[in-house]
Amino acid sequence: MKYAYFLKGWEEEMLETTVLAQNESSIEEFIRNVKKRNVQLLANKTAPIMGWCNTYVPEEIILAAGIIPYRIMGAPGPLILSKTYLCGNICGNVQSLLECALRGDYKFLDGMIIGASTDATKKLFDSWLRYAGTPFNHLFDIPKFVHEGVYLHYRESINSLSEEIEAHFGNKITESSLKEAISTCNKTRTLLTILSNLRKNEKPPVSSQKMLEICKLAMISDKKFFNNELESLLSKMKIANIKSSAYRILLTGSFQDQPWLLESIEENNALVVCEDLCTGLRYYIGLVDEDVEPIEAITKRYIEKKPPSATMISFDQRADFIFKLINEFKVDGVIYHMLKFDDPYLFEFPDMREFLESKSVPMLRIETEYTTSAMGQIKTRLQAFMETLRFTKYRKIKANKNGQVYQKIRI
Amino acid sequence: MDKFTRKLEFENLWGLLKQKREKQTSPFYTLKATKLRSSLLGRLFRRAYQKDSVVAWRSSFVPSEILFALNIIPFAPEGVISMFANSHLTDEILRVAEDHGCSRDTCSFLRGIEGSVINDYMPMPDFLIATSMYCHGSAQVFKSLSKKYKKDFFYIDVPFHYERPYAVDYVAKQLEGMMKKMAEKSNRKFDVDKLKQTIIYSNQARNYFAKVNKLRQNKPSSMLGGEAIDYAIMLAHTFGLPEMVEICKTLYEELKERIDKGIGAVEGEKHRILWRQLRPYYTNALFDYIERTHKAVIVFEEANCVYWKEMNPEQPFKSLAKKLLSNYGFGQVQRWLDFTSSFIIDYNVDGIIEFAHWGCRYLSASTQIVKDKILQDKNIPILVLDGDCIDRRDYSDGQIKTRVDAFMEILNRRKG
Ligand code: SF4
Repeated sequence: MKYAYFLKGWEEEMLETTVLAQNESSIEEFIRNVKKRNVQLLANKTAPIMGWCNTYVPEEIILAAGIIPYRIMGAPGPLILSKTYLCGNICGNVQSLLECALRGDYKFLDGMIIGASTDATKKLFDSWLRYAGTPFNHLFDIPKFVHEGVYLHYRESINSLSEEIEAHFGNKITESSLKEAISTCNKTRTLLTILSNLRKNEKPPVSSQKMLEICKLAMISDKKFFNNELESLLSKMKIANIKSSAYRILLTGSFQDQPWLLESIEENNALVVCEDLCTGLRYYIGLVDEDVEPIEAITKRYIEKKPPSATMISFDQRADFIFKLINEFKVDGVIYHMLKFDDPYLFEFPDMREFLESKSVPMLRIETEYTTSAMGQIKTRLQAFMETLRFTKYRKIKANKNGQVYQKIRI
Repeated sequence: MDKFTRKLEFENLWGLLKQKREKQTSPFYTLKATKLRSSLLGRLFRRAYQKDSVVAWRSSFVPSEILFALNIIPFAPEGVISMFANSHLTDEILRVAEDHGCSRDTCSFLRGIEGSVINDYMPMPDFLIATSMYCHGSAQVFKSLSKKYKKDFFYIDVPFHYERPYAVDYVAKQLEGMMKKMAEKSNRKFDVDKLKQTIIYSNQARNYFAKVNKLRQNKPSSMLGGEAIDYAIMLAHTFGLPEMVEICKTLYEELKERIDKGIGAVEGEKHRILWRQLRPYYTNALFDYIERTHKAVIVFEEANCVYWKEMNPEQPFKSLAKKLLSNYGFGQVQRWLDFTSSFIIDYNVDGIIEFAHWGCRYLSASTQIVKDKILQDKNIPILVLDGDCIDRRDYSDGQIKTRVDAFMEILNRRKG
């Protein structure tokens, strides 16, 4: 309830367009501060830094060991070194992670935890170990399907990770350090959720590109500092009561940490108001229950409460979650983005298309490389999609027991 | 169970076979055991289309022993797609899947399953079972199809860290739970004694097959790889049936006889090749070219490895769990590398050929590590042929043969 004041009385406030500019400058200041702190952190390391990839890796365990969790990401640019060590038909994001590691971008890491969520990440670990190795390397096994037994599997993965971290770094993970880590991570999640929810407003005070940047910062920063800064940013943010004719887009699909796709979408009188991505909601939705035994609570969060990725083979849960977002964020259309060779999304796509069609939600499928590829073609397809949205604006008109139902209204 | 639908599917398939089948006469059916094997697979395949059969679709490593104990017919869709590819039926099936939204970058075994389901060629399942072993895609496809068919989906979660102490009990419990639920749903008796019996048959077949593999170490090799590679599908699919014991025994006796009489699989064996991964199913020409033209005998295929220990019938679920967990290709690449290294020694290998199946991120991704490691430790040349096991649309016989020729040159030079 502490943040309720953000959600109250927006409609009553008559705000000028300058509010948007003020918001933007507050966001810029926040980003500057966090980045500055990150530079200091890397320059004067006071604690080990642990790389991680995959949103099923529990950051809580890393934090509880007094280590800074750092989400490694790829970078735009050609894949040269990685091609030698991973075959060409592996998803570009994974290739790019290895590329960055091989060229020395992650030399500052004291360890690396790779989540075994896909075939590609398992293979990444094999190559990482041999060609890029950090002083500590761990493959965190993740169950792929939720049934009653998998809680044990996930718990065992946590236990092995904890034991190995303790043995390597000599830091003890205690119940109280775990509880503190849980509370810190929960706070990050809560604040990010509040920020993201501001986009339910007709004129979102934070753009999708900034939201992406902030989410990425959350994954690589000193979380306590980040939380303080974000809390202060939120206290400054205001909602402008401005109408917008832009089409409201939900972006879902493969891992995406580069802003170019968002930029391309938004060039077409569209706003990405919600990202069901691993650098979006799938990172920050779902809290760890702070009143339950920590390991059990963490397990429950990652298996049950976190919005699943397609790697989790839980299509119904994913579809329900996406449909809930469509309603809450008043989404006009969905863009389903797949990275080439990213199997979980390539295999999921036909089912998701069928599902969204059954709900009369327009959807565009875009398949790209990890870095900008065939932009001309993508832009043309985006324009054509927005054209269809222009003629077929969707409005929420009635609710049934299964949730909101959309109906086509020609405008 | 919708009995009518299964009949329709059979008629669809029959129509397709009559219209389009391009029969390939295999140059590799030289053994009686191979004929027995085909006929057993054919029988199981036909039974899967019968209206009163209870059918379980199983992905590659699901242990059929459990299904036989319940009198349930195992149906291996990936294996059936390879059979379709062999008869050149997959071009249209793959196109149908792609029109439906399946990316051409995905594994063609799995795309083929989706296309065959859309065209109603596959027998309606009563159950679908997948594991977490090897690729992620097969479980995802099975789960999606279980929704389409409105049938139960079972998922056997096998921990990637197979060596962790909880793993055996964890997997065993799932197998037992699955068998109980399947028994309940199909009105079959959960009969552990019957399961013990299938484990005994499985062990007997295993022991003969292990002896076959041992005989294949003989120089000259007594069996062509082109004939042996298709046995791989049987290891999990039909082990547990008494017929399989007979087949493995026959195979053993036939190879023994060849060796006793000094008969090699090809005359004048020049090189001994270890084969990694599967093969292009739409052509027999590649193996024929390597083995008969170049006299480079494929002395062993990794897919035929008997990696698991004899099972204890008194602990059927634990034993089956151990069988799953001991799979050489499951886990980090080092485990597989260790197996490859031991095959190189045991089979006295001169070179390795790997057919890297496009679309499989699991099997092909570590090729470079394999190359580095094997070259560095064993100094054995490797030829990696990039291709597709099922989709023949991009296959170029000429190009592949040129690469094989160049590789044989290397082997020839090394032998001086
Ligand atoms: S070839 Fe690879 S991707 Fe295809 S079914 Fe087999 S393990 Fe899965």
